[in-house]
Amino acid sequence: MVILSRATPPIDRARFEAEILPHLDSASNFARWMVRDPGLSEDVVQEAMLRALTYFAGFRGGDGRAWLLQIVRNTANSMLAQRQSQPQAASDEAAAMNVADPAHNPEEAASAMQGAALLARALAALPDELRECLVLRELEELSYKQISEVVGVPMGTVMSRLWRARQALLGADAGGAAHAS
Amino acid sequence: MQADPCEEFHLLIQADLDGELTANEAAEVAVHVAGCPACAKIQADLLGLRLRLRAELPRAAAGAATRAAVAKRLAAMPARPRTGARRSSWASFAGGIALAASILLLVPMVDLDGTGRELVAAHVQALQSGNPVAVESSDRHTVKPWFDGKIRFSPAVKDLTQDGFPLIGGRTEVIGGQTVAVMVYRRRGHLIDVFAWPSGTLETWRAALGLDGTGTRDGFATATWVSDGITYHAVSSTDGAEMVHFLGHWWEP
Repeated sequence: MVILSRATPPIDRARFEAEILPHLDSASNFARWMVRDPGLSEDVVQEAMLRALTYFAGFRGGDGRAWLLQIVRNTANSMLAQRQSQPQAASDEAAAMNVADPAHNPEEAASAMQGAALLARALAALPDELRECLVLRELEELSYKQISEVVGVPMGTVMSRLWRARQALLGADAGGAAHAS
Repeated sequence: MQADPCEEFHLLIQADLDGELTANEAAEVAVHVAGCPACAKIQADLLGLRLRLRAELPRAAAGAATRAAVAKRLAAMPARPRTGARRSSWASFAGGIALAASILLLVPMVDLDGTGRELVAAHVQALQSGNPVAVESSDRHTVKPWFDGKIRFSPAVKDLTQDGFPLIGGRTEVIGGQTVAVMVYRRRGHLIDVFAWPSGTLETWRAALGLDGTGTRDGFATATWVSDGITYHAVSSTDGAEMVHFLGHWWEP
């Protein structure tokens, strides 16, 4: 039985369950696209939840999701930095995301499948600062204000990063999976 | 994209798509887009990209292992906020769980404070002796069997090397006339002594009521928990946050 008491501020478990726990899936999805490695992203989420429990007493209420995603982002960045400092070959991003290489697909493979794989690759290949904004907006459906909170940049910066991210993906799409028409 | 006279509209079209415009602003965008094929294409492209992203990249849900780890940590927490030190917790519990508390009063009291002092003293003494372990090994399959025949219970010996808390060995101590097991872990420059003994009734109740936990004694970080009928008490010169991390990893499946 682990009880967090005097060394860490007391935690209102019911409040944590109501305000933070429902965003566990969001945390997982965001972590996955941030670190692009399923194994590491599980570690990131677990560590982030532990930090969330530790810091929860300092959560003043408000947007629990943005608060948790901010912790996930910090955790991911520190764990990525930690891993980079280790002499370990970075795994191939596309392979780590379990994205099938379309070149190895049979000719008759559904073009939709190819399209999805290419799209996942293109998103995974975006620069970190563009990818995180786009994932938060399109997959997690956060508002500009929430994204600006999570990422820690002004809303104007969020807007221009979203624009650049989208243009990059639309460009990749035009070059890769041409419209079937 | 060549010099586009509508460039100022781009971020507005995007903001409209993202639901960030007021009704008036959105209407302005709609009027412009209706008369501008280039902007209409941009709007259609952005919308098409959104539909593809949401349809083709399903969100990854939390894994079963993560879910289990989080649930376990949460389940081990008190269901309500607790304030102040141990003594005031007793008072705050009186209303909600009077029945449990009254049963607790029937349990013979043991000198928990005295035990805590003894454990810190044992930790300090082991450090001073320069021999914090009697069996030195990072292999739990070496440390655990070493206890056989020395104690009459079987404490959990965990390999937490991956988590940054390498096991360095074990020893026994006599605390309150009872031989207890000590598993010794390292965290950076600090040693963490985890004392273990079979839980008494009182300890089981205290754990069930959430009266134990992490804390400090004489500047040392401490933690108390009960698992499978064994009471564990950790003492270390590391800080409280590290102790919380240690506990989190100890409980991982």
